[in-house]
Amino acid sequence: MIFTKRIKQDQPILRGSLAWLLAVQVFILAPHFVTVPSWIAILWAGVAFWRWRVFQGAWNYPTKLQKTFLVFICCVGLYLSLGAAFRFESMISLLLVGFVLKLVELKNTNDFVLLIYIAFFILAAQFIEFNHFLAAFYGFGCLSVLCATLMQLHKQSEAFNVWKNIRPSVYILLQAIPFMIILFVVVPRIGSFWAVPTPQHAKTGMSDSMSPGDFTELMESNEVAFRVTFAETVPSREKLYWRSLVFSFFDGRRWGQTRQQKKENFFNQASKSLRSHLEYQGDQTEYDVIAEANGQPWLYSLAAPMSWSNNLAFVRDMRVQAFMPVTERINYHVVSSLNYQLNELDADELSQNLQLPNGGNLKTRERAKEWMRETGNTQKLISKLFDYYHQSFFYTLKPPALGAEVVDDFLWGTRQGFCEHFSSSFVLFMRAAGVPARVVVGYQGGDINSVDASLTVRQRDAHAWAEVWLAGRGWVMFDPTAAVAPERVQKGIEQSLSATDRELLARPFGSSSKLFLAMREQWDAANLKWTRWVMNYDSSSQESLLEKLLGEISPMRIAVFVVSAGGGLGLLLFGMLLLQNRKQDLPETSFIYQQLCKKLSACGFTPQDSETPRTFVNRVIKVRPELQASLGLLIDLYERLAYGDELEVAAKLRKSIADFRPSEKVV
Amino acid sequence: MSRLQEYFQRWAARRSPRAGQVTLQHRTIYVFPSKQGLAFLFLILLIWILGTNYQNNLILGLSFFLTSVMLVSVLHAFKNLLGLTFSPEANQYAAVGEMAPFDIQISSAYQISHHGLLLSLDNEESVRADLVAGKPTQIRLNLPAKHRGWLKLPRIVLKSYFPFGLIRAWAYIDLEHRALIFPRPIACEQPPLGAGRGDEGHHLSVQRGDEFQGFQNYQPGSPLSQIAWKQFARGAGMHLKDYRALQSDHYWLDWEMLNARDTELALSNLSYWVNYFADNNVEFGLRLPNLTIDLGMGDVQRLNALTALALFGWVKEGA
Repeated sequence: MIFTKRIKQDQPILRGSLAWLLAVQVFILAPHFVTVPSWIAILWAGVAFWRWRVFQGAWNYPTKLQKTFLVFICCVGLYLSLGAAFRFESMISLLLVGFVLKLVELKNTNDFVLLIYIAFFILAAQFIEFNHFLAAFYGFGCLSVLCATLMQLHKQSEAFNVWKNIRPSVYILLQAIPFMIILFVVVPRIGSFWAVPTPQHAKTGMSDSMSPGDFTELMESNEVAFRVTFAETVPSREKLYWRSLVFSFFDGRRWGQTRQQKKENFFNQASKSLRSHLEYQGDQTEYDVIAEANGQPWLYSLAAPMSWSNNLAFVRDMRVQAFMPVTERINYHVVSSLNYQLNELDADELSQNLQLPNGGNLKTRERAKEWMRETGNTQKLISKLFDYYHQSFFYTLKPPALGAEVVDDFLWGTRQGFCEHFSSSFVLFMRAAGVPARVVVGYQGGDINSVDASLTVRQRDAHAWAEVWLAGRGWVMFDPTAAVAPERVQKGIEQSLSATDRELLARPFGSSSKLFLAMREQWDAANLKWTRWVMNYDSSSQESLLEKLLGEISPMRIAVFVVSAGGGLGLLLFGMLLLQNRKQDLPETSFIYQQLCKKLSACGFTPQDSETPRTFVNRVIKVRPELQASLGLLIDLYERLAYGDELEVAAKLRKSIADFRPSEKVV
Repeated sequence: MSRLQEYFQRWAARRSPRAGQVTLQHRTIYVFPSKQGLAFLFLILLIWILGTNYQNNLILGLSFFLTSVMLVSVLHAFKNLLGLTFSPEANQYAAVGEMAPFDIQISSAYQISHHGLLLSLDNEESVRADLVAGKPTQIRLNLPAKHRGWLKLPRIVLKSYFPFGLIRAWAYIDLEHRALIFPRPIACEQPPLGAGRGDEGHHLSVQRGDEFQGFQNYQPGSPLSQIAWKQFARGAGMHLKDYRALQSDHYWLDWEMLNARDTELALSNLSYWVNYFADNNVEFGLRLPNLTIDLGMGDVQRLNALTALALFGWVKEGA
């Protein structure tokens, strides 16, 4: 029984601890292989094997020369696979290589703890790439294993039972969650201290120009572009034209922004002068948008924005955008008036929207003038063109190739295409007829989630349409695609295509069974909640939440809140821990006897102080002879357990006391 | 700092006075972040900076989570020591120059496990104990024995870094426990034999050399106490000491026969011969100026004699 294990300062690493550490490394490193070169995995396996052989006594720790060589090899490897530039990938790779190489130097408990601490940091770094709520769960798992590994050093391990070893850490982590929530809510958020390299991925999204074929790529992508939650009802689908960019310049093949439009992109000046002759005519809708990073400043809004959160700029083209390219998920708030009118267009802008390329598409120009002469009126011209679209055009995502004269070929030749062809040809036609017109690109519609009524807009909802300046009415939206395929606007892109075309569209879950769709909606709703309430919780949402919680934000109130909530939770937890500590001071037999007395007192028998259990039961039997059998058995078992120490009768006794119901027999 | 520490030590000593049995309560347990815990705080800061720079709530959340884990582990560290009872086991013995063992029983007021209990005496290496499901356990602490007499168990420092090594929970345990330290045995050429009840003792002392029969070859099965270990250690092979002639007699070890100027040396010499006679199963008695141990044999006699030697001139117990 005498236990004298001596503790030294430099405790060597035990077998169990080493095994735990290797397991931890696997969990911690795994998510990073999305970013870092995969040879680091092989490096890890080699180093882990080496360390294990050292533990077995077969190999030695590396010499200084070997270590230098290893480090050199790794540096060369990093240089070859990532280059010399300071990028996010190289930063993470360097950290990981250090973490892996440190393993071979692991000699005592201090090294061990250092490695675990680095693992905590690497765990934090994985959230830069992954911030889905699944990543949070994965992180919790990693954290449990990490903490269990730390606990190994201070606790006798439960050999061969992984869960038993992890469980105490998981309990402590669960107990820590309420405190974390308080800190999460209260600790002020401040801006970045310095600029940091971010992971660079090819971002899909609207580009700053539109040439034939650009949109097909977008439509094949199922990535979420942005999510919207409306304050009140969701406007009907036909009204959901999300504006990203407006193109007024055409070079014969490609639509883009004019120099003026580009200039305005980074300023917020237009708004005041513009708003003076902008008339809002009702049909207001208020919504919050969570936009995914697209690497560009432009965002998504419905025309015409009336007010917007202060991380946005309003642009003359009746759209909003961020001040900087959006490299991380951003959320913003907009109130739009769906009916509006612009009363004035300056000469400069007018000429921009009448601009035609120097040559080409002659047939279209001729026809436009001809039709204008025939109809004599812009409205009639537009309906004639729409009729033409409606009668002889075919909506498809796989149009035949177009020649050099893009619009001529499309309008008078192939007559097959989708939104970019329709909008492009329409605007060119209008301009050729002398009517100011421009192309608007963005997204149309989106999927409404029946769970939380949020709207998810994906890249495949990308759309292009047109605006025509009508004197007295301002810019008026026309969607030539709708003339050909009204379902595109009413029901969404999937419904508007032929079966073969539909194959082109990316579909996330292959199946479209109802159960699947319902699950997907739940999933999306949970995702959106996570993004809104956790990932996008920033200083402004913090302010409003604290205001809601505390009534008013003052350091005093926050301090009182933290102290009372934290202290209260702490006391509660401590009380629970102590309660759980309480020694069971009654032996089982007394507990059973108490149960028996309780049952008997229900039919009027209470034991006297002087009575032993046996005499008490005998007294009961005298009055109620029908209980003889059951009570007799009970008291026999009781005495055998209490005085005879026959532990095997305990189960029998428990069963018979549970079955004993004296009051039922009273007639 | 040192003055502050001194003040703390005095204050802590007042809170946990010396007692026959010590149970740890909330007022006698102290908690503070360990060195590892301070490093952990630094780690939390780094993660917080990472999260702030990337404006990533998940990373910030992790830093808050780790902070909370540290907070919660304060409670667990505290709970790990709460309700532990320390009680002394039987007194042990050692000679000067050896390590004096102190056996202590640790039990718990609760049916929970107490992990990684590190017990140490001033600057000594710690001894680790774990209580599984509240089952009592025994530990042995060792302290170098420097002086003969009673050696009081100094204050024990109990530390625990459970659960994650971030928090050090500690307590001071001042237990009424002591070990008896015998004088260091120092050989001298002749045993200080005094006269017995008759005169024959004197003669015996002269004749002693003849009484010793010398060595016999080792025979398997001989009692271990008869093996001539000293000779064996010198590489002379296994021999048996033959005391057949002596065993029939008894001797008096007498203080008076030694040079009384160096009390400690005299006690050491006596202690050597007490061990010698006891090892060889010779009947002997001990005469000290103020105390006489009657004739006896074996380990009981040895204990009595050594106790008398250890406490020779020992004025007050526990002084």
